[in-house]
Amino acid sequence: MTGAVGASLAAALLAVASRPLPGRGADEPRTVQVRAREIWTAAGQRVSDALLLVVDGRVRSVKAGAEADPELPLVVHDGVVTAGLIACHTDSGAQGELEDDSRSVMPTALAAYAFDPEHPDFERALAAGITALALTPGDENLVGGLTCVVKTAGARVLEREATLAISFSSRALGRSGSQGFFLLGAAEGGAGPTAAEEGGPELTARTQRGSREPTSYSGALLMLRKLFAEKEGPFARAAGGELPVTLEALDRHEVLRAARFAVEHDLVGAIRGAPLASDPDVVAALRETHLGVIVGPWSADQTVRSLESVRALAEAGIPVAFALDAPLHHPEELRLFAARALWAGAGHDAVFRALTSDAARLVGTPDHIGTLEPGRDADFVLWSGDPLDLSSRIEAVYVDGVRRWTAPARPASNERDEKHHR
Amino acid sequence: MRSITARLVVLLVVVTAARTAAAQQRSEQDHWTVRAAMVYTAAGAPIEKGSVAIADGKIAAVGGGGGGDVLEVAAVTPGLIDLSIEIDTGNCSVEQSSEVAAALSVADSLDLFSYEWDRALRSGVTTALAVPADFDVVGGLGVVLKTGGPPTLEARLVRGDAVLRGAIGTQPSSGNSMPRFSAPQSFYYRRPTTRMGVEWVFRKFFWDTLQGEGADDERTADDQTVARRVLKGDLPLSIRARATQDVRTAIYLKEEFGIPRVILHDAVEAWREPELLVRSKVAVVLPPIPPDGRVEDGFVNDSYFVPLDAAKKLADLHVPFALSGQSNATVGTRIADQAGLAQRGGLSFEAALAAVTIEPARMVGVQDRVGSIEVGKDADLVLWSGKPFEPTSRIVGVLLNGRLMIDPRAETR
Repeated sequence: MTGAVGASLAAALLAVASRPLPGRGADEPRTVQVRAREIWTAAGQRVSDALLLVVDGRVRSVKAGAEADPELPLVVHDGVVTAGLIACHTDSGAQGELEDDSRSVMPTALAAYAFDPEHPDFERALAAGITALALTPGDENLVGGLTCVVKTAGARVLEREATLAISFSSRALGRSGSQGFFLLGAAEGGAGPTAAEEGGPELTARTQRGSREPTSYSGALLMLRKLFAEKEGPFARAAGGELPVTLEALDRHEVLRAARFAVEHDLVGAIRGAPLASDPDVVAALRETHLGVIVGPWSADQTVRSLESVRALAEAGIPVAFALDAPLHHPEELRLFAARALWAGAGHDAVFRALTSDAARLVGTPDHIGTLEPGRDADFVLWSGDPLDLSSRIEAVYVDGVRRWTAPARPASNERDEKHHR
Repeated sequence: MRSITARLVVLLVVVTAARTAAAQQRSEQDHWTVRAAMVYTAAGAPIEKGSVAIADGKIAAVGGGGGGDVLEVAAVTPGLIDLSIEIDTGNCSVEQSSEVAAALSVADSLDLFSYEWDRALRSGVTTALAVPADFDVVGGLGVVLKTGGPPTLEARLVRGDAVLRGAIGTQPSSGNSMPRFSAPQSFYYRRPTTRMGVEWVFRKFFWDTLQGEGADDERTADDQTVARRVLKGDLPLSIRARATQDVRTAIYLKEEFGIPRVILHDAVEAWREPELLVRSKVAVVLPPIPPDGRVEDGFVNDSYFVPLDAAKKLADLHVPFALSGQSNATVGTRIADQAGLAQRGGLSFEAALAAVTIEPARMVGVQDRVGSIEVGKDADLVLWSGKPFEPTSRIVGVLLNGRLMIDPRAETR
């Protein structure tokens, strides 16, 4: 009797648990067929006149010239279908929430608890063909915390502890070279004179952060070496490669320091930043590591040397991906970065990998997203043409086999012109 | 006609490519014979119409012999050594979370990509001492490096623990203050705020080491291990002391604790204390001194006067001293110019040469590898268009570890 009650209770719980997640579009069937002019399952693997079969949110198969199953829904697309794009290193939906400079070492802080899932940043990213984002905590902290990977549709967390964020940049050092100019109020709630007026040091944002170790590269290394000697916890998992790392490093000497540390502790993951990664000495140092490089975000006046880093790294066999840093940069800029990398000599396949499979690997989720191989999450984009061609448009974006974004209908351009000139 | 032009273009391209390849190969080779009207070895009398043979990055013979390509110049000296090179990562080169960070090394905080290394090389400096910036009382270990080559420690390091660096005077306390208001969370509120406080921290560090006090935390224990090496004479203590009173304080500290090897760094006014210098057997590194003798200290808004014969005074007292250039790019304060100015003040040529080569090498314990032209030493050479340090002479070539970094044959006049 009690056994039967227990069993029915368990069944009820199971029924609750297996109900689809709430959110727009989540109730739609997650099984669909897409016939397209071309389907790119991975970089350099293009199938013409192809049929993509998605069953229960995952890719089942991609076949050339296959017959569609009349029982299943079919979408016909006169264009290119690729895996959804992946943006590394962004603040989407979490602006100002990923920095906590009260402590310089916060290895268990979780970026997964920093973002607002209803923030329009995620919808914007989805509209730009980005189906997954990595949110990296605290690059002004020596150890910022744990990166999370989020699917843009419904802001669902795919990986809560994707990488451990560590900073080798001077931005993480207590009192860095560039001192702020902002005089902060003295006492809390009081309008008393500032310390500077009293002849003391200016209470700038920087000097306030002066309460923290370390203030130097050597001090930072000393602290990191101690942390990596711990027998358990995030550092122990990172040493040896179980938990990937994201190491921020900007100047070339910082990149070399990070690379050296990564070799010493057998780290896997990525360097984030490295604007001069095209330097042959930097490339040589990175080849000794198991690290890739997350480049960007690039500004409009970025030097050619920076843009060439994708080519230089790819030629050396080092995986590359792009940082987006939304909302400072609009998600549409991700494709702009890719186009500029192409312009600066990188190969088409290398750049496409940087947007998809290499990005998935560098943010610590190599098995679920980044390609349209069987078993992967059915996150894909319907393009009018080559996604690296900036004139190509997005017609629809699917996440977990469900159409989550559709291009708004718009009048043909000549029609609009006619209206305008009438 | 068109085909002739095309052929000419092709020919030109081929010739250019071949020449580039040859130039590449030349710069990579490390076998040379340097012939000079005068070879100043910094180890004995100069050799007239001599030559220096270089093989595998080392000096193979002095006087005659040698293979490889021949470089003909007016004069050759050892590569210059600058103990006050100021190529660092500024605040990021010193750990300010405590006023003593003796066990930390500046090796972990260097920017070997800085263009200033190249600038130093072009001014004839092939070896340099790098130290943490002087914002701590005891800032940490300084290292001796070559100024050229691949930008890695492995490639450039000559000595990893050359000196322990400390500072007496106003700079280590600048920026510190008493706690004020309700924001005591910055460590700049706790450290010394005066010259007296700086000296106290310095003295406490060595006192605690002798007493074995405070060594229960790991970092202090590491710091004290370094202090014990200094007290034994294993490791020289480099103290930045500019004003006369700071020179005195540094010397009193040396005498109080019986520290065997002390280098007074940046010692602008050391010449004012001849008796103390002789009595305490300190070594002195002079900062670059402008021709008018006025040394400004922008950081603490102070200025000092140095007579032109300051170096000669030190030489007459037999105080070991080095001249330095602080990687300065201003004409007159570069290290080679300093050796010339010191001669204007009465210093002999030999002493001036020693003060930028073998003397600084001895101070930081690298005299076995660099500092003079002797068989077996690193092939670091400076090639001159005339007598070294003269205002009319130029540096036309530099060799570092036998590699031609600046080619005298490529010089335009």
